[in-house]
Amino acid sequence: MDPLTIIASLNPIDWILKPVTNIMDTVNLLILGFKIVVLLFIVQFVRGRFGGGPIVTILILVLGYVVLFSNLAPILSTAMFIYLFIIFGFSMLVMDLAIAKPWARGGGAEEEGHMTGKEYSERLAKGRARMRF
Amino acid sequence: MKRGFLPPMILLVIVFVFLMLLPIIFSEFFPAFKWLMMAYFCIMIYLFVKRILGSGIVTLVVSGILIYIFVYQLLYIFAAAYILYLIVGLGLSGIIVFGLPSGGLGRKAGAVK
Repeated sequence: MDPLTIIASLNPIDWILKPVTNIMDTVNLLILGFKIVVLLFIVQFVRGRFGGGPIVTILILVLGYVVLFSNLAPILSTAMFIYLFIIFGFSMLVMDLAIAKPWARGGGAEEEGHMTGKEYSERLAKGRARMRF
Repeated sequence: MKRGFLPPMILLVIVFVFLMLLPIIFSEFFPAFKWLMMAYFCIMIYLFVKRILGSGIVTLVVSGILIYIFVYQLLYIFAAAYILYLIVGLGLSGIIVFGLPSGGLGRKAGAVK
């Protein structure tokens, strides 16, 4: 058998492309799902402020189009994503990691967290003694 | 980058990834868990849509689409994201973030004094 035919039958491009296309399919599906969820959030937001009625429905459609399909969609979708992150509390996790630095060695707060009751009472006693003199 | 930053950070990432993988591992070993998880997600999605759109045909259609996407097609991704959401939303991330490094993994034992 011709080696080229063997290589062609193995179809190496397919090996590379198939996982990539699978991932892209999944990502596209995920984006579609998120778009529907964002549309629901827009509906909730507009109805919460303006109630019901035909004008509100038009407003929802316009906002939905602007946020999801217009030229501004990438910017607004990113903003929406960040907003969702904040309201779901992920920002707290980032703040914990970035500001509180739980891995910092020799931090004051961390040391206090490690104190036993005995150590704490000794420290209190020392503080009181210092205040007397 | 400060010394001692990377290992606890990697540890935290590993712990979070492990927790996110828990529903996938469980559903591989116990198929009943997968069905229970699917049922739970279906109910949750339906209630989420119902809260926004009210009862009606539109709610059924939208929740059907969302259930098809998130429960039927992307179950494991959704389950992992939901676990992460639960950990962060219930405030358990603080226990993990502050508990792990101070629990002797990010520092030597007896390094307090």
